[in-house]
Amino acid sequence: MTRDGQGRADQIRAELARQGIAADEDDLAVIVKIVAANRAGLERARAAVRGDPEVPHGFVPPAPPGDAAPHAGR
Amino acid sequence: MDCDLAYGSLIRLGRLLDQRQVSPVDIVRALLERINQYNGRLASYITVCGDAALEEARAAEQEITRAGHRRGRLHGLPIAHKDVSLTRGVRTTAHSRCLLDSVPDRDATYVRRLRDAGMILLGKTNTTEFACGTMDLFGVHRNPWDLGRYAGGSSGGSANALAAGLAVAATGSDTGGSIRVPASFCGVVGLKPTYGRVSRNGLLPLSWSMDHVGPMARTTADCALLLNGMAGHDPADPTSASAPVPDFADGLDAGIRGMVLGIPRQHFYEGLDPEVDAALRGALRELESLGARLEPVDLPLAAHIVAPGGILIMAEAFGLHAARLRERGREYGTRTRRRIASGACYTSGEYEEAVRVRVAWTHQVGAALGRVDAIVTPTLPQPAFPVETQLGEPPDTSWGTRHFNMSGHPALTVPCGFTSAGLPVGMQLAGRYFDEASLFRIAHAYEQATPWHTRRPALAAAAA
Repeated sequence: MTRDGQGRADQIRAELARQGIAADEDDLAVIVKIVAANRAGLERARAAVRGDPEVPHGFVPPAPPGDAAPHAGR
Repeated sequence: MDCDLAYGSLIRLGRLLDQRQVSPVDIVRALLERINQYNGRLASYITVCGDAALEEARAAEQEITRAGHRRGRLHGLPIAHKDVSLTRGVRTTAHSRCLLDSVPDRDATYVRRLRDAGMILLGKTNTTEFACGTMDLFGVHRNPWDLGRYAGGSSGGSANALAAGLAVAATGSDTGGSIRVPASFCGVVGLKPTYGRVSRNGLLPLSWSMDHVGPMARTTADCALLLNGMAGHDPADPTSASAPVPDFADGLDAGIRGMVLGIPRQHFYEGLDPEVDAALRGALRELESLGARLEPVDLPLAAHIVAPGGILIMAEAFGLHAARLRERGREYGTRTRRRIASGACYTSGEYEEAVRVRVAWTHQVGAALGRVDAIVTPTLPQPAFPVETQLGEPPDTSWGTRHFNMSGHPALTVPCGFTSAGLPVGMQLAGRYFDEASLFRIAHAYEQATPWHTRRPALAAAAA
């Protein structure tokens, strides 16, 4: 594992411990892989988004206004 | 005759019930016989309601005979619910050790609505654990077209039961493709409705903003009938919409002449298995020959949706499971535990970033659907893969489906061909909010012009 990879694993181990989630080394290896892949994908997605889309308060997809029952947070 | 009943469409079986040519008991018996014969190999059902289903069927038979008519088009017909649906008095396990003895005292809203419409609960179908992970208690749902292959997840029990004639109607849930993926792999029809169209009250949740419940069947018309029974506002679900519910079976035969279908320029037609590509190209030609006009549409973010969607799903799943994961983590299957635990590791900033991508993507889909009646894509880039692949490191099957969980638009898969190895290929149609009717219309027109939905797997030989 690279130093960066080890750093990420340590960070994730610490976060899981803080949240009270038991994880052994095998669990950790898989979780680190999942999280790293999604973070990399998110970074690519953000780079592909033009501008800075505004997130409406209480965003709930999609329920067009007028057709929707009150939503949580709206 | 029994096999004929087990493979009957809801519409045809309903007609036979109306004409008193068969009774609900005949239909349930035919299905139970096949379940008894094939469930061991297919792992379609976690719980089979044998005696209870027969009792319900007898009651329906009496009611129909006594009243002289059926309550509606679903009365007296059996349904299988995915085992993440609360069913009063019938255990609901979500394929998890944590819920092995869990017997709910109430029905999910959609279960109750279908029950009120007169449907008979046949059983609870197999799913990956909590619709996202392991399958180590009740077996891996296998593909009836090749028992060495995976049926797709997570509503794989519903899909393979339909394809194998072990159910005539089913429900599924779909957080990233879990209705459409197994429906495509197994060669049946599955709809993820618009977010808010079907109440999720009583669905064991995975992700509050991505979960959907929808119908699965062997034909589009049957899916439309089922959605009639499931849809509508429910005060018990705060995300349930009050949009009017049309009769989705109306207008199915209107044809598609003059409709405009969007073909994405990005992502969806890239890197396809050659046989999937050929099936889709053939389907597009067929849609054109039926009078639809194809128009390219731009969806530049399409290649970037799976990861942000994964963050949203797992962060929300962790929120829902955190307490149980702390207390009973070792009772979860390994894959489920790891996936859900991964959701603990994202920051609120990352969650918010994923929501921003979601908003931008939703705008892109909305803009495209402003110009076309529906978007047409492959449901998956490849046909069903071997069970061993699923048990090892499976490919991400939400490649083309999670997109519409992110945006909330309705999306349906319909069979559009077979590979040379005899594996089904699915075509996905995505439409405007609350316009499931157009998707049904397109899929039905396509279905009427093609033979795919009439094929049956050679199960007896394969299971021997």
